[in-house]
Amino acid sequence: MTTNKIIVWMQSSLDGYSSGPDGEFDWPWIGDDLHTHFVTTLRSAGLFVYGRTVFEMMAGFWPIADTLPDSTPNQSAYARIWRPMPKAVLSRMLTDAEWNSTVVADPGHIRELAGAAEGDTYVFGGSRTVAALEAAGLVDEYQLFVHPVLLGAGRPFFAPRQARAQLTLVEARVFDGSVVGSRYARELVA
Amino acid sequence: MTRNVVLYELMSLDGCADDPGEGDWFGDADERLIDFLGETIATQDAVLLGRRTYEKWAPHWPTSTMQPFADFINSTQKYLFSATPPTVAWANTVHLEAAVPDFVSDLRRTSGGDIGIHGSLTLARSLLAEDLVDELRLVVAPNLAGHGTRLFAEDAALHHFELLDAQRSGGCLLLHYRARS
Repeated sequence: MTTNKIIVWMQSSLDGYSSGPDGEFDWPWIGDDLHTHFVTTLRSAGLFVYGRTVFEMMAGFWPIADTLPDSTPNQSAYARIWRPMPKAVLSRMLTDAEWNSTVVADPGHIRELAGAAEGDTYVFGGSRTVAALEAAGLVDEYQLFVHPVLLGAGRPFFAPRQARAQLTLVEARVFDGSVVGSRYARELVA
Repeated sequence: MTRNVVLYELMSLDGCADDPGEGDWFGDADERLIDFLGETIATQDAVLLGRRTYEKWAPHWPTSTMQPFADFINSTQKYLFSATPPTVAWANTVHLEAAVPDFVSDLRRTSGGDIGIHGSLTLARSLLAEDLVDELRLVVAPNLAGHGTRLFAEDAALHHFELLDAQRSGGCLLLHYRARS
C-alpha cells in the first residue's frame, strides 16, 4: 500500500484562472522565495504529471534553462531536477514524449505510476488534466499559489462541479510579499 | 485625496460568493475572522448595497445581535442602488436609481471615511469594472462550492493588486489587497 500522495501544484490568478484564455502564462511572477520553494519541495518528488500543452511548454524550456546566460541558481537547480524526473503526460494525441516521460491516455494509469514512484506525484496542469484526475478521484492535495492579479478571463483552475467539497487548509504562507501559497487536503484531517 | 472604496466578501476557494455564512462554510474560523471584519468596518462610514443584499439584510440586521457588524450596518449611512424602490425600510438608507459609477466617483471625492461594499455582487462587479475599488478584503473558505455566483466576472479586464496582508483563521484565508493604478 502506497503512501505517495498525488498533489496538484498550480499557479492561479486571484479570480481563479490557471492560464489566460489562450493559455497565456505570462502573468505569474516567480520570485526568489517561491522559486526556492519549488526547488526544495519538488526535488524529492517521484513523478511529474502534465497535460500535453503544459508538457510541451516545460519541455521547451527546462532542458536548456541552466545554459541560458541569465539563468538564476534556482532555475539551474530546477532544470537539473526536471530533466531526469519521471513524468507522465496525459494525452490521447501523443504516442511518446521525451525527458523520461510516459504518455498515458487514461487517468487510471497515472494511479499506478504514482503508486510505484519514489516520492509524491505533482500535477502541474493544464486545467483539463486536473479535472480528469479529480473526476477519477485521484487528487489528494492542492498546492495553490495565488498571484495578485485579476486576469478577467481564462481557464478556470477549478472546473464547475455539482457537489460541494470540503477541504482542509493544511498550511498557508506568503512568498515574496505577494503570492499567497496554500496547501489543501481533500480528506478531512482531524 | 479620495475616499477608499473597500470591497469585503466571503467566498469559496473556487470563487463563489453567494449565500455565504449558511451551513458549515466557515467552520472552524476563530476570532481572527471577527477582528478582520472589525478592522474593515472601523474606518467605514458609508456602505453601498445592491438590491438583493438590501432585501435580505433590511429585515434581518435591525434585530440581530451579531457584533460588531450589527451596530455598524444598522447605524452607518447606506446607499441602496436599485431600479425599484425597496420593499422594506431600513434606517439611514438613501435609495438611488443613479448611474452607479458616476455616483460612486462623486462620493469618493467628498470628505469622509472609507466606503464599504458588502455582499452586493452585481454592484461589486460593476465597480471593479470601472476601476472604482481601492481595496479587496477577502475571506476565502476552505471549500469548493462547485456552482454559484462568482465574485469576479468573466470577460473582465486585467487588474493588478498589491498584497497588503494575509492571515489564516482556522481553515479560512483572510486576504487584504490594494489596487494598483
